[in-house]
Amino acid sequence: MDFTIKISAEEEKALLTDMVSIQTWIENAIHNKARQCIDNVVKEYSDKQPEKISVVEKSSIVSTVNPKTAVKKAAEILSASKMQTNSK
Amino acid sequence: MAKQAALSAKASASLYYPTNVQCKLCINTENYDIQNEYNNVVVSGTTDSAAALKLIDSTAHFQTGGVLVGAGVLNTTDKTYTYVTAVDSETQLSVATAVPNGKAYKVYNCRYTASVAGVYLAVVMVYFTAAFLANSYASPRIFKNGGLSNLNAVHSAVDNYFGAVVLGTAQLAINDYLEPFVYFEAGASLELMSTYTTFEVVKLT
Repeated sequence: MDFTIKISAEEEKALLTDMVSIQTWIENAIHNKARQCIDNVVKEYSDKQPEKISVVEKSSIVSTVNPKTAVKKAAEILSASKMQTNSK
Repeated sequence: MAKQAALSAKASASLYYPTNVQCKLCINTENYDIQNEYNNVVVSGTTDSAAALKLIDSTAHFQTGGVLVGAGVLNTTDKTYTYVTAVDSETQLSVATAVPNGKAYKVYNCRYTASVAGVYLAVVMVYFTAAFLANSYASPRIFKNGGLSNLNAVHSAVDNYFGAVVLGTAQLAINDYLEPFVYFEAGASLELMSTYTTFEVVKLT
């Protein structure tokens, strides 16, 4: 999956005072977040400990489960909240 | 209350690093990583083909294995170093210097990415298994966001059998990252002892 981000020349100039490659920094940020989320999914949806299995094994687990999306979680919270409100 | 960020990692094996090139250190065994901020992925194998500026292994899983641009690459057969410039496919990496056919390799991320902004203390320690070349120096280094941030050096005239440490503070924003490096000025490849080749990070403020 590809994502494209546009930044201004000024943003680029400023960012390059703090990092060697903007592309590498962005890629690391999203891959690191994905790595942490994969660990969370493995913990929540399998009996494996993510720190004890390989990245390939973790990918395999994630591909076979159907974790709740953030949108679905938010909807459930909202729904529960409405139920509480209605019960008062 | 969120737990305070802290990492302690050591090398899982003694490895040779070449001289006259800045090498990222392969430090992949976590003693602890309180906030799951350290990417310690290592992919090992043997190349089975070759092309200009490529590392090719038809049995590898570089993409699903989580290899990142900027990952270090040790050709452990020839004791040479390069790094990943692009992840082309599951079985092919673009690298700064080609890895020939039939070479054992280790590709490793070894990157600490901050989850919380703050001032961090980072420590890189390297420990040599043999003396290094007279009149040369060894230099452990800390890189921030791909660039040199802190360094220290020990000269062979002073300390040619032991080790060297660099400590540095770094102000990190969320997703800024730190990596451990080493540089040997001259001589043959140097072996670093696993147990005492370490990378530690702790959030100060």
